[in-house]
Amino acid sequence: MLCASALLASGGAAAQGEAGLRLEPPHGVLSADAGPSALRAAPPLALEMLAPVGAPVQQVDRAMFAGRVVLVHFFATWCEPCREELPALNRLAARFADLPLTLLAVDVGEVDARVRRFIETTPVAFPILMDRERLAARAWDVSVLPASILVGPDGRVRAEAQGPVDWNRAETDQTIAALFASADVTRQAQETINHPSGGPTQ
Amino acid sequence: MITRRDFVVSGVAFSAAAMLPAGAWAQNAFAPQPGAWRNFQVVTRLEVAKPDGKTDGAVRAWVPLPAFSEDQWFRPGGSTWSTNAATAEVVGDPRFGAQMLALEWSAREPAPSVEITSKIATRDRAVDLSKPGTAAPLGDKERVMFLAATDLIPTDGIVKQTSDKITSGAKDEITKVRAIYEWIVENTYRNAATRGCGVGDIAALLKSGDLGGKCADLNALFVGLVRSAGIPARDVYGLRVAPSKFGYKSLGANSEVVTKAQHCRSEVFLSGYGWVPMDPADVRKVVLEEPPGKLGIDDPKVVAARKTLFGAWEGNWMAYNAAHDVALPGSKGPKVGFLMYPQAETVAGRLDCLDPDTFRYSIRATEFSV
Repeated sequence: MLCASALLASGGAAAQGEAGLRLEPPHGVLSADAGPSALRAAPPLALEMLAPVGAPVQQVDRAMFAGRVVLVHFFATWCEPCREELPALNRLAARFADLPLTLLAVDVGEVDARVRRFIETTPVAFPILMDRERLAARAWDVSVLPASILVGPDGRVRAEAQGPVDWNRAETDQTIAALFASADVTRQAQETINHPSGGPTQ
Repeated sequence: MITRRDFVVSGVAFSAAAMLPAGAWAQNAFAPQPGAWRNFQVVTRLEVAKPDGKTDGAVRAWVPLPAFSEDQWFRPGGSTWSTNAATAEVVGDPRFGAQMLALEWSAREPAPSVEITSKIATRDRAVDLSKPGTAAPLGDKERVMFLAATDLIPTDGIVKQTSDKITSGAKDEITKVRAIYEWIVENTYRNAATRGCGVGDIAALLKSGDLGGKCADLNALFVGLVRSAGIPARDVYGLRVAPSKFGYKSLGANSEVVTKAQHCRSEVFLSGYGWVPMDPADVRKVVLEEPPGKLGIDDPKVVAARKTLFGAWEGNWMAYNAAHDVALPGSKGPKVGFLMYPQAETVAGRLDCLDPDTFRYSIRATEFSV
């Protein structure tokens, strides 16, 4: 598994065409135009959630969130752009807290102990699922970290980005808001985006 | 196009570089040759820290042992240990024969620890590929094993496509392997930021188009591309135990403390020659790390390493095993892609074998005479 920092350092635009990525350096947008794989059914995602030492382990399945928009974010603690994105994802989660959006972070190929130590200094506001054998990353065709895949309420992939995303951009919020199944919820989301109560998103 | 880097016409770049004058580079010619055996004692000390405030739960550990055996260049001399573990036994990986010391401590043991002393004998290797060889063919079982895909080394998809492209037009085994070796040297790079020796997920490496990593990435990519060409190949996971007598600071252990000197090398089975030593990842290491650092591909030190490491290894390194996808006996955790680092589990689950704060181990290597 590669980290997108090296791609950016060596020219993300070059990687864009050749590796089939939709990455716009320095930070891409989670585009609703998800390319040839758009509207494919999202693969299953059933993984254990990272838990404190000694606590019961909880299995999380994306199917538990049917009818909601689900943002699946693949990351690893050694990946520098991944580390930079997590605080922005916290803010995204806060902005959409009252809306039917579920954010699932998937740590790829690391041991629990390392991830626990990492979140001591970088706490996150969403579950971290442990893809210890990289099976989920393969099933979701993730080859570069970070990678983010937005799944609509119908269980289909609606947008994705392999590489960093600027989660503070209004376009990103718009892309997510447009996916809510209910027009009322979408309207509520738009109002939240246009008139945030939680102060600036930066 | 699979990566953004251009494919190299096999042999051309290498030949041009090899003709460069040696310049003022003063050191022994990098020319390992089978000769005297060297004997090493390697002491691995492991201390498993229990999670803060948690004294319950058993502790397990699995420590790789140098059990690789090739009579021409590597002879394991056995291992002994002292430990406060309740049980300690040597167990083998059923598929590849990798050996490890599996230990279990009771929940009451406050400070689980073990010290393992291993002895090995090794020497330089060199295979003369300019003359026909007479080595026996590889057995059917081994041929299947070392042509097969592993979890992280697939031999289809992008790996097969890349291999086919690199070896297009090559008629025989040596030419194909040479083309892949030169391609690795030309198109990959050693990434100093990679943790440990890397993960070795070669399909991800190729898909990303960014071919940076360390030995477990670059030599795994080499092995995968060679296997995809229908030629048996394997990674051998081990540890540098002594400085390079040929003056390469980057290709040796420059202290008795070799805790972070893990290194995997690769071998290719060529008809008539047997297992042939190779190490394109170390060519990239010379490029990045050999003083003064960041050498050009045409630097005489790089040129010499590139030439030599296609067919030769220096005997300053110890082999653990050539295993992949190793299940740790008694563990409920995932398989390890390769077994080169000690592993341990507590009530907190699998520990981070690269984190010295929670999982302390040290390895010391000393040469001795017999």
